[in-house]
Amino acid sequence: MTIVLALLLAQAAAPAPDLARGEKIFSQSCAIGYCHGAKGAANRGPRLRGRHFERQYLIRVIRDGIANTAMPAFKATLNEADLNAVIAYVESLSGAADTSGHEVSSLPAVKPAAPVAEAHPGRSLFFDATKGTRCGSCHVVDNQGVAVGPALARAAGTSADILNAIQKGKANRVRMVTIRGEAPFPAIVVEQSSDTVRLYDLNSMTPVLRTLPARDVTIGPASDWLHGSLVRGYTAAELTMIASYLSSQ
Amino acid sequence: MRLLLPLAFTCAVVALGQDGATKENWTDYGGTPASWRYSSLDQINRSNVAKLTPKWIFQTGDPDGGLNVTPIVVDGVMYVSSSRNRVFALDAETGREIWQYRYQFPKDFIVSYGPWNRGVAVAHGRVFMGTLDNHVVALDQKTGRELWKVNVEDYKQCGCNITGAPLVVKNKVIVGVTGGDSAHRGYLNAFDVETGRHLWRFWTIPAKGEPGNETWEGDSWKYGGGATWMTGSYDPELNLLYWPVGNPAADFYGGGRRGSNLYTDSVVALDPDTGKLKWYHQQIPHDVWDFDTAYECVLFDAPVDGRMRKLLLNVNKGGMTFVIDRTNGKFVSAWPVVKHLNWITGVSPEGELLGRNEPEVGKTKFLCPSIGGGRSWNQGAYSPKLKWYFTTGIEWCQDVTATPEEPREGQFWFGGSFTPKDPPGERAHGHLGAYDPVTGKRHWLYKPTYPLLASVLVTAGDLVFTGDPEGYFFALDARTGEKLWSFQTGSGHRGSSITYAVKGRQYIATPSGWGSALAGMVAQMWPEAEKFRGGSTIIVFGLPEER
Repeated sequence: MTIVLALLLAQAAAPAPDLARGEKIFSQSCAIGYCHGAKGAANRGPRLRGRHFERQYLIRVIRDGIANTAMPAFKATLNEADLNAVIAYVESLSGAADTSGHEVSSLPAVKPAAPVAEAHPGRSLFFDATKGTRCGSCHVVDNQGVAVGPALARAAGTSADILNAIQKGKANRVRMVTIRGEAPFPAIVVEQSSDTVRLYDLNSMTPVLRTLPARDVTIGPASDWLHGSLVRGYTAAELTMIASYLSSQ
Repeated sequence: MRLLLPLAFTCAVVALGQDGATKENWTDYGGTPASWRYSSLDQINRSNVAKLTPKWIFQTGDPDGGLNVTPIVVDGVMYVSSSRNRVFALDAETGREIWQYRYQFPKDFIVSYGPWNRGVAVAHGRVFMGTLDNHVVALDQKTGRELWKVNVEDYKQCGCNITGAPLVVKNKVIVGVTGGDSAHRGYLNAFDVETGRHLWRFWTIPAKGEPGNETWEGDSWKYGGGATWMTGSYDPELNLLYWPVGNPAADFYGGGRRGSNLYTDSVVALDPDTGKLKWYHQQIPHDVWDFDTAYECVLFDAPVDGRMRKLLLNVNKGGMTFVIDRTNGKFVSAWPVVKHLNWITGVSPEGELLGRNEPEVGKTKFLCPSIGGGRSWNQGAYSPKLKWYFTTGIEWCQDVTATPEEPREGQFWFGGSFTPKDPPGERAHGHLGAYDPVTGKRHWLYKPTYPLLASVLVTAGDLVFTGDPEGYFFALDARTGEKLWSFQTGSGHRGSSITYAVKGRQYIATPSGWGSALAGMVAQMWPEAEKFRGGSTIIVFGLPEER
């Protein structure tokens, strides 16, 4: 409640939301083929045009999404000004006729910009989608990535320490595992009970989470697996940049 | 005491190449890896189809997104996947549930591109499924227990997921990905069926330095779409894997990606052992309509100019069918499945698009068909007996405006907007036709009340089965298009019916469950469709038992 109130107060002090901006964001993020349709005329998502929504409801749903549905929380991807613009635009649709819009968009054509650059070039490299295997395939940093290996939120040490760990680091968690009928492979065991073992098979990029009968699995000593074997897709200069980014975290 | 009807297998004799007909089992998404959706079963045929009655009904319990699946049947067990990656193994004779599997999503999971799933693959004692958070899982075929699970790419970063059915080729499970309307670079992946280990990745957009990258402007290749969201086909004799590659992103605005944009809107032929490209055939260079070469690749053999050829047929969303030689990708013919088509004036004898009519920035243009498709992804069927291809088509158009938009990795990137419209001079409508697959000569056309968005099934009993948005599941005479039987299943059809046999009895199974992105677009054009009821049910029909 206080959050909403604060929002409303902030709203009052903020400049009037930009409807044209709201329309542009809506057409790119909300009107798309899978959701609310052009000018809110409905698609797979509900129709918004010609319907009245409580303002607080709009604020809540657009910011926080709706759990267990396709409605995302846009506070994760839009800034405050853009959120307000979209909210205002959706509100403006309530007076619109309940038909699909025909009018030519009044928006001026703009030149497409290059994708927004990440704050730190090391971060871009960490999540570089042009690399088949990238750091983010196995590590979470700053709430992004996949948690197979350790999260790197508090990676200790200098940039040089981190670079050394990336290239030459051994991981104690990684064990050599033997499964009946297969050659031994490095793995991270994540769960072990009397009848089942779950482990990440590191013989594959990305690692495979395998569930195996305990009787078939022999967990050996720490493996001589090296983290450096995974980062061959990066140049030394790129790894230095990534280390610099992680040390700044 | 019931008498079993004799179950005769009509030999669908194909002089050359593979037999793409199913028999007792429906083993693959398209029936077999030739994607015919044709069964050699003929116990149910034109003489007795009117007697079909329901044998059992199975409710998945979750109607969100409808039921888009093609069930798989292996040795008397049916495998069905439903929205949010649930899988059910059912006794195909009685409908009794043998096991069920519910995929566990991360706590903060948000569905992108919708919750539906189009099917699983079953082979090597395993059931394989792609998930909405972009994983592939392998389940024990007998118990439904998860054996392995592998992440393809972080779904939050790529804005992509898996809704299509995997295809198993030898010891590999091959899985495509959505994301063609997002700022994402598409790919196809192969995993080892036993271990889940990654075996190869084919990027649908070549990287800097690779042949084909020069068909992309600047860095546009990094975000250029090229999704592999439907299921491919496989020819074991040629050992070639065929996969359809979807549209480039942004969909309607091509200003930042001048060039032909390989291998979007192409059929690629890959070596399934290595994932290496053998050849490609691009239907739409530099697509600016979202006309997506994404649908089934039908592998069939037919005479062309007096010579028997190994062919591949693929209908795209622009309503154009392309037939190519499946040994080398050479263009053979092209023909439209819709009347209202104005984005090109035709296709040259060499396979090149003529008279391109492109969306423009800041201007509304009237283009046909609609982005919803001259046909949607629901698949056609090929009868080797009649040598005809059966496919649906939708006559609808749209006002479309291109808008330059900046790519944001993993975010939707349409580059424009559209509003569906009636075609010139008539009300929008759909149809189902029988065509010569090479020439497009039409043998008959069936016109339903609403466009058909379910796949087509054809059998050696010369029956064509499909369902409509109002819930009717029906059979047509494959030779004439005459309606022979229909049954109200309670919810509209957006999945794919199949046929199979258990203990000498033939059954017809259909999903019923209105949903999907296109169901919403249909409601824009036919407002009453907003009230069509959802559902998620499998209904199985058979002939009455004789006493």
